[in-house]
Amino acid sequence: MTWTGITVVFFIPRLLPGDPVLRRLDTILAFGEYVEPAAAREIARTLREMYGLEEGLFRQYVSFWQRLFAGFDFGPSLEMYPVPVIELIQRALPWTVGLLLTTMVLSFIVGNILGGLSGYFSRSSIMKAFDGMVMFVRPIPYYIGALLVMILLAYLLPIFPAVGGLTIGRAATLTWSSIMDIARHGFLPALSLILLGSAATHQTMRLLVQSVKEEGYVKYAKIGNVKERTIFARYIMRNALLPQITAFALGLGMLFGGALITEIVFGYPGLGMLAFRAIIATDYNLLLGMTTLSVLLLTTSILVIDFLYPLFDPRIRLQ
Amino acid sequence: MNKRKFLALGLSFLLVAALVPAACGPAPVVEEPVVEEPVVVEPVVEEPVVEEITVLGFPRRETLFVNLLTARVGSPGNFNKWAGWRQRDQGMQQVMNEAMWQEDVIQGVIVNGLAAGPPSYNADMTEATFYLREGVYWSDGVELTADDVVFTVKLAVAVEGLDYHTQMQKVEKVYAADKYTVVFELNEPDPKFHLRSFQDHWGSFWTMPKQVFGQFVTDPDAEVFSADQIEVDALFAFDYNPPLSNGPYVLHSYSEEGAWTAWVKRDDWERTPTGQLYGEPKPKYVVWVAVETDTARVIMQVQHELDFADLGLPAIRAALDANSYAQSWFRDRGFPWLLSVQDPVGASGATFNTLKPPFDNVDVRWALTLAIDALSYSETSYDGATGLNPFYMPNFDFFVEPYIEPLIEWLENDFVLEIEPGVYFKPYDSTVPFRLVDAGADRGFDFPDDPDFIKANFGWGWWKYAPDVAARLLEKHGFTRDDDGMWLLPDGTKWKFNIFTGQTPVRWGYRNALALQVEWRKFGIDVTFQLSELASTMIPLGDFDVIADASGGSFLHFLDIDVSFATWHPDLREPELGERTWGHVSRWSDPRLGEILDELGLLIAAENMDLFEELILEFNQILIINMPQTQGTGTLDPYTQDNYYWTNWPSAENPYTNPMGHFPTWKYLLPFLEATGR
Repeated sequence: MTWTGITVVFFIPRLLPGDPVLRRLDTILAFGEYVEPAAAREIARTLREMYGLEEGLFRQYVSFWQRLFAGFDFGPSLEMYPVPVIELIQRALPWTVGLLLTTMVLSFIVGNILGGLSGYFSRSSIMKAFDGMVMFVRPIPYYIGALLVMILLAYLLPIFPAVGGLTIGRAATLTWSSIMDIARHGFLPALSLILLGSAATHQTMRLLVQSVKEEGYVKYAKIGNVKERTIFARYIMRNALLPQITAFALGLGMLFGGALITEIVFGYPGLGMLAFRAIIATDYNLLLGMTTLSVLLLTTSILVIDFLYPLFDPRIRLQ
Repeated sequence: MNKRKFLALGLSFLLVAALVPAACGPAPVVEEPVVEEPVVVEPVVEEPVVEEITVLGFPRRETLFVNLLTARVGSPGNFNKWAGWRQRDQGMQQVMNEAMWQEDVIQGVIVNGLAAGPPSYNADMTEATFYLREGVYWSDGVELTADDVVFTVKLAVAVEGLDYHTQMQKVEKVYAADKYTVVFELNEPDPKFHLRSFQDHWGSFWTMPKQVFGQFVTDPDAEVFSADQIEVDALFAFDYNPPLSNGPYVLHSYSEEGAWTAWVKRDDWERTPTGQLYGEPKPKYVVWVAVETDTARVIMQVQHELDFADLGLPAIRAALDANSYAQSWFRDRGFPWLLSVQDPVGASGATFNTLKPPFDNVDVRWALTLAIDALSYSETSYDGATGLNPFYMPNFDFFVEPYIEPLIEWLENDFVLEIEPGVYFKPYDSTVPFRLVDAGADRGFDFPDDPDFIKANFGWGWWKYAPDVAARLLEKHGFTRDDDGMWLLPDGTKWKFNIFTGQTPVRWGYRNALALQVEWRKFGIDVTFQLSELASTMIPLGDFDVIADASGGSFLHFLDIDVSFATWHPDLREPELGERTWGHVSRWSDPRLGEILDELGLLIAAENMDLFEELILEFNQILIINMPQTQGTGTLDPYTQDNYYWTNWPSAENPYTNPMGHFPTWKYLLPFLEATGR
């Protein structure tokens, strides 16, 4: 599956019209730098040769796998030549992992707990009011929600900075002040992701719990005078969480795509923007690097979940 | 425990959890009885002014924050501009590097940067001599001399893939005649050699410091470099960090994520061309900051954290409303026109794919042009905030006398369209800019009634709105209308086509595409708007009907405008769709255009103005008669500046230089800024 995914990503961009060299030339021209038309053709040829794009497709494919097995080398970025692709990914990865992992975990916890409570106490007026709020928040397009958060908490009440991962002039270090600065800058993007992410999780969990609580074993437990706390936690939540765990694992695999809109709105320096630039510039190497790692992460997280599932669901035993 | 008790317990827990921090808060205030103490008069001691300091340690009053147009820097720690394309607008081209010659389209001059004056050519144009400015030093204290230029050119000639390698293949030999004189022996006559590569608008051939890059060459003083004497891999891997400056600022620091780049003024700023020409730049620090969205830029500018911001029109209005210190091109904000029709890159409007029927028919192209209402077009594209330009070149001051005025005279007095045999129509309308101003007055805005001011900022005229004439032109070729008034092709099918752009909603391509769609749909054509990030690939391949993105070259070569018109040469025309064109994307040309370009290509405009005026007039006439493009608003880059910390920005009232934060001319603006002292 991994090999198939990577192969598809290798060939598809190369089959699209145009190539990174022409994209680069056209971008240069669009910005107003003069390139003599007669010279442009020769420049394109030279650059294509320098980037290794003159070789046949199969030769490029073989070279890619050779470099990959030799040392996880995806070659240089074609848009930001000659910066290695792996260096660009390493630079952006901590920001994406830090933000998205945190928000995914928090959305998972908050959304599932509140969704579970909402599903279990479905007749409670408090929970109904809460469900109403979630139904209002859920359909808000992320872009609008993110801008609202920014306008509210960076402009009307200027508590948090509007953009960036760090204050201008600061470097990301492991000092307390740097960590607090990162947290402060990450608060608004995280809040926007958690609000909308946990709303989705809430609704899903609510439906799952409403379904599970009608199961025979739950009714049996109630008849058997099992404590309500125990029924909620061990009989209902634990069963309802199983599909949510699978979804979480799949979401982990998508981490490598970053959160493009978040990064654009809040100027956050993550993988999403890198992926976007790679697509726009038809940067084959960067696209391949990001996708390869994404595919590897996805397949690995699915594998890990497969192994860990017996811990969550004792009914499943490894054969 | 039942459900009710469970909930009650949970709520009680929450209540206690909320109250605990409150209980730990400050004790309530108890008023103590007032005891009168004798008043002691302390001597007045002036408190030191608490200066706002940025995290970088820069006093805010000495720092200029500028929006980074091209977004986050992809390779922030790499300043080796020669080895692969680099984002240069994080300060490299604005304050670090001085070009040999720098175009300033607002001043209307070519600024002598590293050069002391214009170059000279020998009689047969095979030898060009550059005379360098004396007293220019790199930031490491080494003087910039002819040796640096010669070294850079020789390296570019020898190393394939190095910046300007292809262009420098014209150089047979290059040497330093003396410390400040560089001689190029060319392998073919080219009086515009210096224009194509060394005259900067938004990029040109940069000079390397030989003392740094010489390390990659076995013998940096060899007459000719060969590739085997150069450590090519090391040269391309070299990140040139920290870079040396020949401009007035040096690199201070930058963000590893590419979010900002900070520059500090050189102590020896007077040993740079900017310092010699314009004096000391006022800000001590200049910081370029990547701010992705207009919303964030407006917020930062309102909070006085961003002195210059590239913004779309709605965002400009929001910034001006929310921040009394903000201004745009028109400093006096009593009227809505925020943008000038003077533009640095080129004209923008409709470009027809003349290989696709019916756009291969000149009457169809003219019909589409006459179907556009200029006022409505301006309102749709920029809410009436800009004029329109009908010419195939921008409305620069230095084009007016030699190129624009003769063209206007022809348009007003002689140019007619033959609608039918013996029936003629004059399509040019010189009242358009004045009607645009009147439309603004109707909205309650004042505007100076100086005709020259109006023409300079709103254009000289445009095409008449004549849908009836447009209809006749179409009907002449078998077009008809259906019962709903929609146009049908001669074969009876509905006339449908798309307008294509690859730009974001705030850029000129999108704005013009939107306006064109509105006008042509009003006329009765089923026009769709197509937006794609792949536009820059699809357009050169001819995969479009009509585009609104700029095309036709950038008008950067001052009076030698033939260089800018190079894409119209018939030799570059690609007649097959699907094959990339290196000529004009309309795929239209004419043999006479090639003759004119070939003739002017061997002449320097300043020495042959009469001939240039005559032939450029003819060139423009051919283009207008055949209308492969209908020019629109120009390639506008709107912005706002904040006067809270810095004032005396360039404006329509005080146009002393190009105001754009991403242009190399930014360094010429800095000596004129004034700190407000806040």
